[in-house]
Amino acid sequence: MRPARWSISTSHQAAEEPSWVANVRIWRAAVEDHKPGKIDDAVIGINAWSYRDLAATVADLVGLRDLLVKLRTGPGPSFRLPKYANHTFSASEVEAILGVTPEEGAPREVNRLLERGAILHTDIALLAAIETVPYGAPEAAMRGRDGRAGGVVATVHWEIARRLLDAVTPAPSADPFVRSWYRATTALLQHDYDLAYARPQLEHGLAILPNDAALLFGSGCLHEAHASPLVQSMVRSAGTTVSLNVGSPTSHLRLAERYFREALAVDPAMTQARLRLGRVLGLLGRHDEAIAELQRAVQASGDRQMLYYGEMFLGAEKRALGLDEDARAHYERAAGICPSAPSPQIALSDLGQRAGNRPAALGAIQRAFASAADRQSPGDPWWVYSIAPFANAEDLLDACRRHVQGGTKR
Amino acid sequence: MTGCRVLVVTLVGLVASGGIRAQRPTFSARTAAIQVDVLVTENGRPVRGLQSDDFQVFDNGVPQQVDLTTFDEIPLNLVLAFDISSSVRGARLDDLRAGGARLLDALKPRDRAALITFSHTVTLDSPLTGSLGDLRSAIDRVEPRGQTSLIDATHAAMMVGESEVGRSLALVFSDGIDTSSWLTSDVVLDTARRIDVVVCGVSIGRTPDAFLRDVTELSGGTLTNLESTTNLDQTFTRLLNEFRQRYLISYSPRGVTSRGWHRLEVRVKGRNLTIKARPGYLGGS
Repeated sequence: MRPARWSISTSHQAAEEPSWVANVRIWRAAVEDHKPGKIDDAVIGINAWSYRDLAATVADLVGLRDLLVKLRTGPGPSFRLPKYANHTFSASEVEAILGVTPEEGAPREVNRLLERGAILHTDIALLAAIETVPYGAPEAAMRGRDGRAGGVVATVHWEIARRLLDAVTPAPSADPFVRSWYRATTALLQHDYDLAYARPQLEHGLAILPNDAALLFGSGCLHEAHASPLVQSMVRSAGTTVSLNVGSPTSHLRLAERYFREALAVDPAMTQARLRLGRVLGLLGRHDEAIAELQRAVQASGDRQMLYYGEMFLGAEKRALGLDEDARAHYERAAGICPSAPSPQIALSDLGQRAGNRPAALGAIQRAFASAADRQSPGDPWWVYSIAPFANAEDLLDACRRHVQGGTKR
Repeated sequence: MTGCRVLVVTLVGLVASGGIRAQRPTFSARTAAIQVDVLVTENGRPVRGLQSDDFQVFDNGVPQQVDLTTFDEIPLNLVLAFDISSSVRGARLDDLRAGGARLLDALKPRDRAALITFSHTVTLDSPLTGSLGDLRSAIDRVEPRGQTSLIDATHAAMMVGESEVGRSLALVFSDGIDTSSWLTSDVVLDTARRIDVVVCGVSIGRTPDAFLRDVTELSGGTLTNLESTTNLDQTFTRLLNEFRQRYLISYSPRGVTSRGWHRLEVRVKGRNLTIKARPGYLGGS
């Protein structure tokens, strides 16, 4: 049941407040009433609005903000908005609609509203159920399961949130919250393997913040994921019934390489980017380059999981070059770092088979079986490689939520 | 010789189990022989009663002297590799369990079976055993979860199949596409070229999985692609029965180098029959 107080206004009576003004008020009240991170009446109510109404309300909100600046700084007490020729507003009327006091600077106060609004729409996107493709939705996503294509779903709220933050003054690129929001939301989307929405989020974030190392790294990871068997198999299983924004594995690996290099150009100490650059170069068949990057990453890292990945990927590169003894040493080091992980044993079994050493091949696969059967095992980091960099995504988003909760509610 | 059993050892094992028919082929004890198991069909039905003289074998295009053993009396090592990723649930899981049970029912007293299940993990639920009660319980206990490590599981199934003397069949069932293996398809396909385990695959979906298609082809097995799992048990038992009706052709290579890839061609003289056999073997090491 949709909460009535957050329902879209349909009033068209000239004597009453115009519906578009009412919608801005309703939306603002919902934003200020919303408890970040919770599914509350504000989430349920605003989630029921159409894409067209949401987009129009955001545009009207920004229009009123710009009007207020003109009213406070420009000549005359009233000003007609060309779009709504029948209505005039005084500065105090606009302040009341936007919830801004005369004492405070309108842009700063409206920035606060825009940021809180972005969090409301973030929470709707993350927490509210998506059942159908809203009419006019600019983006849709295909859900996949275990490499097979599923149904098409959509949410408009990521785009609405981006529109709100695009209006932050003096410029979104100058606002620390905007940077934090893009870093948090792209990390969370990638952690949840919601690549369809991570992509426009990253693209838009980089348009605003082109030298942000975290966003550049995230873009590299996104394209690395698009090249993966999981995504590629989903694309193949979708057939020709839908057009998916996924290219060939090679095209995505090349984009991943580009973004990882750009991230390293901004932050040469970003070991994760160097590790993944090495992995991507190996997948592109450039094994010598891959080994050089992976060795640098391993030498620079003290993180256990990164060392595990580094040794496994170095093992794969050495095997590709026919250096089986070197490969074996890397896989054994990986097994020493994560004794309960099956993948190093599976890799060693393969090497044993290649060497014609059946006992070694069988012994290794039996160790892999034993690891898999151990219910106390922490598992294999290989299984979470694609989402490993985004483990702290929830914490990043919670920090954004706390930031907007710190403002004064009107 | 990499990828091929030394025939003398195998022959001793077969004699001890009483698994050779009245026709006793002669083998060279000085040159390691090559064994190729061959399925011969006509209009989809296995052809029986062929003798060694009926076959022609070409090794890198060079005709070879053929010895022959049929092996429906040779104990079978059946390695079941079942996909239990998250998509295998409900009716699909029920059909898989029923199919596994039917397969076990069709085994003979000296046959052995193993069960490997795989999601993102590859688990040996039961090693090769003639005690099928444990295996039946293992099949009943499987619960779907996670992604699909089809490639790793196929490698594991081939290792388990190769671990014991006897004819080995790895029957791999999957309704998905590999999404989480460490090994890559080219690596495991290379293994399939080297060892004697026959891999038969059963896949579900519109398009057959490319890896399963290739690994079954290279091992001399077959791939069956089904729209649904409704008659999975019939498919499983058909594959098992077909495997029992393969011929085991042995020959000692002459006129060819021992190392490298050897292209194999098997024909039946004077008849237009369908031959299913591995396309070659990797000699030397």
